[in-house]
Amino acid sequence: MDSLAEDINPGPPLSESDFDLTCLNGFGDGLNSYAHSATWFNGKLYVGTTRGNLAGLRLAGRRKGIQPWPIECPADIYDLDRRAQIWEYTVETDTWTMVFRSPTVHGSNGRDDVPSYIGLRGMAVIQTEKDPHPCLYVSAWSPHTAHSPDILRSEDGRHFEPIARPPFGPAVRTCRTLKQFSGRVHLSPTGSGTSKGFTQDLSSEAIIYANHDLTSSDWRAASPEGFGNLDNATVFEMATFNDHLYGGTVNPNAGSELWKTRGGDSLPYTWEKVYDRGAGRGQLNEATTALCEFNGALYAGCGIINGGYHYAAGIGPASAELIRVWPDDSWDLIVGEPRMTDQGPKYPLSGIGPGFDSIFNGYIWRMCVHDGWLYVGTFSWANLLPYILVPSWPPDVQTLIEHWGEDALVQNHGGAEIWRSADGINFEPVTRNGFGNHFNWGFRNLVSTPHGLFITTANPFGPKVAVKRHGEWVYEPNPRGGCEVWLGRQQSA
Amino acid sequence: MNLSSPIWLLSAPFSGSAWAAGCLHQHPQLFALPQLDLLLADTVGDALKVFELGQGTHGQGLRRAVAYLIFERQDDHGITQANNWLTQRADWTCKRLIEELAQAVAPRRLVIPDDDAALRPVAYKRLVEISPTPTLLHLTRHPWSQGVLLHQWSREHVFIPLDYKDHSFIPPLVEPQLPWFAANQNLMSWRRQWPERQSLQLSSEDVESGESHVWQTLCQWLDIDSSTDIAQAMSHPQNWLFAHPGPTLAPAGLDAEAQTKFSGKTLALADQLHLDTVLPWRTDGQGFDAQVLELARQLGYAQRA
Repeated sequence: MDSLAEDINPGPPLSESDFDLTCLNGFGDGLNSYAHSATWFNGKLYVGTTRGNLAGLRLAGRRKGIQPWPIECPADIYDLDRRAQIWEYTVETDTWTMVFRSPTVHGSNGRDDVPSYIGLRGMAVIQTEKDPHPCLYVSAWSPHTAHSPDILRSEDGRHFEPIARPPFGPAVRTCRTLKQFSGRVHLSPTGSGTSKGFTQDLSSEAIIYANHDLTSSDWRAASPEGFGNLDNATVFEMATFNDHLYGGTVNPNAGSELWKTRGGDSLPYTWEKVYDRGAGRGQLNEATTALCEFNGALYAGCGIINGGYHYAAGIGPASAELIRVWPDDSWDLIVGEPRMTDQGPKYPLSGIGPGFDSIFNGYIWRMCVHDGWLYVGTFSWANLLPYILVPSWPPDVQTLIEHWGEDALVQNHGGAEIWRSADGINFEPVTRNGFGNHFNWGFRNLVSTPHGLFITTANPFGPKVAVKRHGEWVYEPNPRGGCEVWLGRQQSA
Repeated sequence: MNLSSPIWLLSAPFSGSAWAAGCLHQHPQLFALPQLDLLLADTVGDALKVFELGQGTHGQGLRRAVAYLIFERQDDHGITQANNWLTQRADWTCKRLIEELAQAVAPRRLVIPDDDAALRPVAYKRLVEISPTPTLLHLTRHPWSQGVLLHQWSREHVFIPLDYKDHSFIPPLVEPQLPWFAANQNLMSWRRQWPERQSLQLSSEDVESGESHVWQTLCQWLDIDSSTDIAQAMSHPQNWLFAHPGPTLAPAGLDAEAQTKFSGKTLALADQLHLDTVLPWRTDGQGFDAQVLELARQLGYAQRA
């Protein structure tokens, strides 16, 4: 495809100064680490949280090279209130209301206060056969001491009930994207856990499940395990584009694969491979992390799980790429590293290297089209720098630190980034430092609404964060720790 | 054509931009500068930061140009003065700085070579902000000779730009086809956005041939004196005041090719201009990619009979 800018007329772009903070500090509770899911439903914004993410990571044993642990954690993670919450925002009154809090169950650890859901990782507004009108569906994350994860359903945004689960294996802990296509709703497990540990990005099964009626338990496999390749550990993200359902995988062995299907009446569907081996970059594009249609193409964000460094698999650290896929399965490299591929030479049409020229942007997490512009949000691990032992830093990072100093680097570039583009080639930064809060290490949701563009953050640096005082590390309350929700709109509107 | 705006001499790396700039400078109505690298940033201050962080020789050409044009010298003292002068103007836009340099050489017209900008669309956006109706000279070189020279250069250098490498390998391997293809493809795309009269392809093979008609054609396109004696003088880039290495504080400033002494064997290999044989820099026995061959054909590089 030609790299010329397309003839399009987008509206005015949003800049950093156009964004207002609608909530900070995890809705007043720094344990609300991630505004993990969000959607526009019945004229309001709904946000689902995941709680205590860094405490959970510590439990998972990913501590090598990190000292001290960035937040204060109890010895037993179940001493934390990790009951996930759903919040509702009314734009007209600028008010947030908590409309759901996870129930607790008797856990396999013997405690009676185990949350059913520690996180709410995906949301979608869907109407299936038996739904009287579009309903809000929420995909949950359950701890291994509780039950299998649920999909919650709400008709009114106030009352949430679980629907029948897919036939998940016992190790499945969470799913993420809910995608309606070809008369069915599709989901895929994206996290697993047992008493030996968990991983939030790798599932015990790489299957897309489909159900035509979410009031029934008729979940069936829509894809073969790993699309026929057992190295595909997880179907991490899905999107609909050009009358196809697309599924992107995590493949730690050879790099992500992207598959598509026309759907149809019979299950499982017939699938075609769009790219494999991380679009020719191999393991450094371990996962397809985000998918978004824009101007007749499907934009695919890539990255390495666990924030750009899959320690257990020895992949990374490396930063993320952005790829543009056309209906004929040809693809362009938009942001990333040049290379020779099966489709010929590919070079970044934007002229921008991986991670938008930042080693810290471990993946492209979410994308959204708003008023004719493509907005791209990243995850950045830069804010971990103060806690990472020096020998762990890649040479590129060491060079930056030598030039700028660690404090300046974290303060000025410690947060995640948002970039925008009107043509899918020329990108401009909206923010390169988490909207001025370096604790915002990820932009997890971008939601285009009639009131503007909502952007929610992942910010696990609360309630107390490790800071150095007189040469000693101490834990102090962090007023900017916990997820935030920003609303971007033209200030003259 | 706006005769007061710079002529942008853009190319893929290792396409002979310094040689061509040196030739153009011999024309009494043109004044060629070293590589300024000002398309890397919007302001002088930002450019200086990029130079400071960069691992290459960026900014040395700018300092040499300022030393010569503002302080009328090209020694270390002049470079220091140039550096201070630039630092004091950190709040200037790069556009304003280029206008200042253009004024310093007036009535001659600035020629600005750049063999890096074509890899980055943001550089093109800045170029258009500086020159709203730009005059573009698209300098090309046969992909074989470009590849041979770039690859040989890379074997003797530690810092190799990411754009020169094939990242399908771990660790990445130098693959000259990639910057050749990227830069020329981008330049073709940018040129299509303007009326034909605003851009011209100039092949380094023609430039290096020393034939007067090449320069006469170019001069006619630029609407400047195309007399034979001037055209003949344009075949002597060694007379360019930036042709030789700069002082200790800024020895570089030209494209990397101009600062490299290639062996006779390398130059002989580069002269062979193959399109249909195994590439000497690849170990897998592959030749040029089909898309590279197609672009080479579009640029007028056919296989030698």
